[in-house]
Formats: sequence, structure tokens, C-alpha cells
Amino acid sequence: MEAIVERAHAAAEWLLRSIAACGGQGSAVYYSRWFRPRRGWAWPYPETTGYIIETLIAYGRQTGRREFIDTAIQQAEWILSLQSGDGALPGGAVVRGRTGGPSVFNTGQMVLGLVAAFDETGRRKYLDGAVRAAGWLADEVDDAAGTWTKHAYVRNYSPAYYTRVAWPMLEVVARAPDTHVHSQALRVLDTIAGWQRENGAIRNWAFTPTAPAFTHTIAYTIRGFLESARLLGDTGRRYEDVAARAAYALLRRMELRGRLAGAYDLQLKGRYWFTCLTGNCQMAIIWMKLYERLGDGRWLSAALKALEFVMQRQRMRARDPNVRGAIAGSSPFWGRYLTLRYPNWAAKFYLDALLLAYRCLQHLLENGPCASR
Amino acid sequence: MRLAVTAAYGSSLHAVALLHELAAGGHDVALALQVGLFSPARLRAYARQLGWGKLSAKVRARLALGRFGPSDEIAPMREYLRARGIRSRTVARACRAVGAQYLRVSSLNAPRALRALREAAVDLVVYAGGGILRRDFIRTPRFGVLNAHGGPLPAFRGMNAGEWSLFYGVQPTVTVHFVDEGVDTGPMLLERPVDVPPGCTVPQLRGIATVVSVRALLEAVEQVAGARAQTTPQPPAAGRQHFVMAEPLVEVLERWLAEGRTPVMAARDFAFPQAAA
Repeated sequence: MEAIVERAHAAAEWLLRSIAACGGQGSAVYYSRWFRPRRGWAWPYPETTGYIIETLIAYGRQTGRREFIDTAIQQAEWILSLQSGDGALPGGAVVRGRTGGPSVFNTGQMVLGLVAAFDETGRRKYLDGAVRAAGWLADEVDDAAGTWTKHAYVRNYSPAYYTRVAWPMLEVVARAPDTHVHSQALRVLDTIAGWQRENGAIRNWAFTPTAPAFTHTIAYTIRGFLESARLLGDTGRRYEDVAARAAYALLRRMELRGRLAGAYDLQLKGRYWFTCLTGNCQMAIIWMKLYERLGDGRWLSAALKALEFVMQRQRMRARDPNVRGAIAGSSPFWGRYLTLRYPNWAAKFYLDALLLAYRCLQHLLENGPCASR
Repeated sequence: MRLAVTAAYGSSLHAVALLHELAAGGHDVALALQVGLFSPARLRAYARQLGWGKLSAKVRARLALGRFGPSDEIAPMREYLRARGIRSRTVARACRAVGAQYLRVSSLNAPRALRALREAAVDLVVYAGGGILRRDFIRTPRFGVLNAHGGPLPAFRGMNAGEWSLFYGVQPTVTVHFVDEGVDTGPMLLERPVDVPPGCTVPQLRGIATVVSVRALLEAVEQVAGARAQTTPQPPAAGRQHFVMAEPLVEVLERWLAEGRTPVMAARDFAFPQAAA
């Protein structure tokens, strides 16, 4: 438990540094002396800054450190400043003050941050921003395809991890009911649920149509189903089943092989020469959430192993202070995912996973064996 | 009855105990198949299961045993051997003592092991470790292969079943079953509870379970030899396959045991709330 606390603190401090490096206006997309030899820090990235908001709030609440919550709310203000009139939020990084065009996926991730800011402060403007964004997302769903076909990373490609856009839409609906947004979110979830194969894999869960999927995007896809199921209650059971099936397929492979691969193809054949560290953290989160929902200890055990792998690779004593506490994209550092970089979302998902692991272990220590609870 | 015993490594004390006790019980112990500890395939399999870090710690601990005395895990088995007057401490010596053929193999499924098993024409194999068994091995002995699983079946299949039963507050139990091609899914013969003494640790509990498994296997062999064996099939969906428990969860178990939070539920009363994934 002490190791979790110490490492969570280091990751949280690193996230604050990634925001300070951008003058408090967004979190730098990554730190890398290889890609940015002079400064190290890259440009602010609205998408991941969006979902970092909820992490900073959770950490601030857990530790009672107000500066994390204040910084998070400052980021929500920045996100609102990027929103266009129709509710869309931009893709890409903010380079010399310029943003990319509207992006479906990135809008969804920023909605998560706005919702978290609303929950924390009760200020209506954050929810209003989230409602406008969710409305734009609902309008942009291609009814014939049952998902989004525009404003994507890759032209003419609708990834399965759009489940992680349906989820924020349902978060908004939970706070500001809207039947159109609700039904469009379900439409997307149903479409993507239909892409699941017998072995648990889900078509289009990679960044591109032909490449093996990094565990990062696999976990995006599964998490979208899982969180949607949580919000939908009994009517979401189908999505929980889809999520659990895919999550168990990966759990089994990890347990039999000893670790997660960096990427998997649709036959679930792994690319084991590297590990996608953020994917490990994201899968750990999913497994722990499944443990909390279903009470099956195997989920928790697998999560702790995947997380331990990352804990061993967190840079705790680096000479460069901007590397201290960071999580690399890949292990080895030159692995295929975010090669030679420390992305901000790796630290975010790592911190989320540590907080969740702490909660699960604390609960077990306090309450004793599952059966006696 | 003509028997063979397997062993996972040369100093496997429960294999030693079985060889001696089965011979003392009047059985014809014809063969012992011992898997080489350091075969590359085995090391890879262990490393996958445990991770290289944990594997090297385990090897270091085992190498240090001679100098620093037995660990908590093997102490109960040593005590058993002492109490029964068994002086062998390796499988090879036990074979010499009981007149069994001793064969060291790279894998129990290797052609050399299968050939020896066929030539020995045994009625039953008593499994005391050595890795996953393939169909050819399982089908060779007339009555099959007996295994003592370290947890209650059918619920807790796979690795660390004793620890997993503790995790759910279920009485640790050894279950003797015939091996089939699944993971601990074969027909069950008998089950025996493992007492959890106050203040014991997880390794101590593993050691106690090993002694219980030796006794349970001896009992099961007598049942098979006396044609009294009654097996219960396992419904496939009645259990879950477990894997090696993560270290932080083992630490949680240690805390529970230290605090006296012992199991509350008998194995037969326990069922998972929903079907396995």
C-alpha cells in the first residue's frame, strides 16, 4: 500500500508539471528529449487534458490537496474556451494557439472532464458545455452506419473505441436527460456490440483498419461498454457482457503468457516484443471495475499484476526532474506505442489505476474474505 | 496394484512420501518419473506463470534451503516424513529404497516418459507434480491418473486454489480427482478439509495442505485398488479456472490469517454467484 501511495504521488506531481509547462492552459501531450530536444515538453492536448480533469479531482479529493482540484477546474475553463458554437471540441494539439478541426472522439473525452468539473463545483456552465457537445455528437451520428463516419482520425474508418464517446454522452444524459442523445448513444453501442467476434475481439478496435490494436485502444473500447452499462443499469447488461467477454479474453492471455502484449490482432495473437504501458493501466482499471461489479477475485488479481508491471517501470529516480514520476508509452522505451515519449494519458490512467487498486485492497483489508461480507 | 508416481523435482518430499507409503501399503511401485527442474521449457513456463523476478527469487530460496533450513512450506512435510520414519529426501533415493525404476525426463509428455510408462504397464499413476499432462499420458495407465488438487472442486480449479478458497472465506480443501484433458475438471473421488491453525501463514498452510494431499491420495489409491472408488463428475460450468494469485492479494490473506479471520464457509456450501466467464 505504501508503494501505491508513493507512486501515485509521483504520477500526480508529474501531471501538474505537464500542465505548468503549458502555462496552466492544458496538459502537454508528452515529454520527450528525443522529439523535443530543447524543451522536452510538447504542446497542450485538449483531448487528454479533458479526461485528466477527473483524475486530478479524484486525487485531490483522496489526498485533501486542493491544488489538484483547482488545477483541474482551471483546465475545464480552458476546454470551454476551445468549444465552437455548435458544441464541437477540437482534435489534435494546440500548436501556437491553433487547434485542429472538430473531432468526435476528442469531443467525447473532453465531455468527461466537463462533467467531472460540474460534479465537483456544481457550476452550470460546465454542464451546459457538456450538453452542447453531446448534442453535437448526437447530431453527427450517421444513422445508416449506426456510428460516426465523419470527424475521425482516419478517413472512412469508424473505430470501435467510439464506445468511449457513447459513454460520455450517457454521462451527460444522466445529469441532463435528453432522449435524442440517449438513443444515439445506444445506437452506436449496439452497432459496435455487433462487431464482437466469438473469441471476444471486436472489429475496428485499432487506430487503423489493418494494424493490430494497441491495448490502449482495446481498453478504450471495452471501457466504453463497461461504463455505459453502469449508467444504463439493467438495460445495459448486454454491454457489460460484451465488455466482460473481451476483458476475459485478454485476462486469460495475460495469465497464461505472464504479461500483456503491446498489441493484439483480431485472432488475439499478441505482439509481445513490447508492452503498451498505458494499455496495461487501462486494462487494470477495467478488470478492477469488473471485480467491483462481479466480485470475482480473478479480475483483481490480473489487474494488480498488470499494474505491478507498470509500477516497476515508473521513473522514480530519474536525473531529469521532468521524467520523475512519468510513465513511458512503451516498455521497452523504443516500443511501438508512443516511441521514446512519456505521454500525459499514461500518467493519467496509471494514477487512476493506482487509486482504484488502493480502494480495492483497502476494502478487502477492512472487510475480510468476500464470502463473509 | 502396479503404480507409477510423478515428481516435479528431485527433492519433492511429497513424491518421496508417496513412493514409500504406497510401497509400504503393499503396492507394486514400478516407476517414478521426475521432471528435470532446469529444462528450458519448464523455466519458460514458470517464468510466464510467475514472472522472471519471482522465479529467480524462488530459485534463490530453493538453493538456499540447504544452508538455512526448510521453509515454512516444506516444514510440515519434513515433519510427516520424520514421524513416519522415512529417511529418503530425494525421489531417486526413495526409488532405490522401494525398488522402483527412477527416470528423469524433460517433460512427462516426452516420448521417453511415455515409452517408460507403457513398458511399466502400470494400473494407475499417482500425480505428484510435473506439469500439464497430455492425452497420451493420461490414457496409458489402465485406471488413469490420480491428482490431489489443492482446493475445493469444482469451484476452485487451476492455480493457488487453496489461497483462492481463503480469499472467498471458504474452508481450504484437498480434492482427489482423476485427471482428464481439462484443468482440474476430471471426476472427483474424495475431498479432505485442510485445518487452518491460528496464526498460520500462507506458506505454512500450503505445507499443511501438501500433507493432507498425500494422505488423501493414499486413501484414494486404496479405494481404486479395492474397487470401492465412486467418482462424481464435475459439471463444466460449476467452477472457475484460477491463476497464480497476485502478490498483493497474498499479502491481504497473510493479514487476514494474522488477524484470525479464518474461513467461515464449508466448501460444499459455496457456489459462485454466477456462471464463469
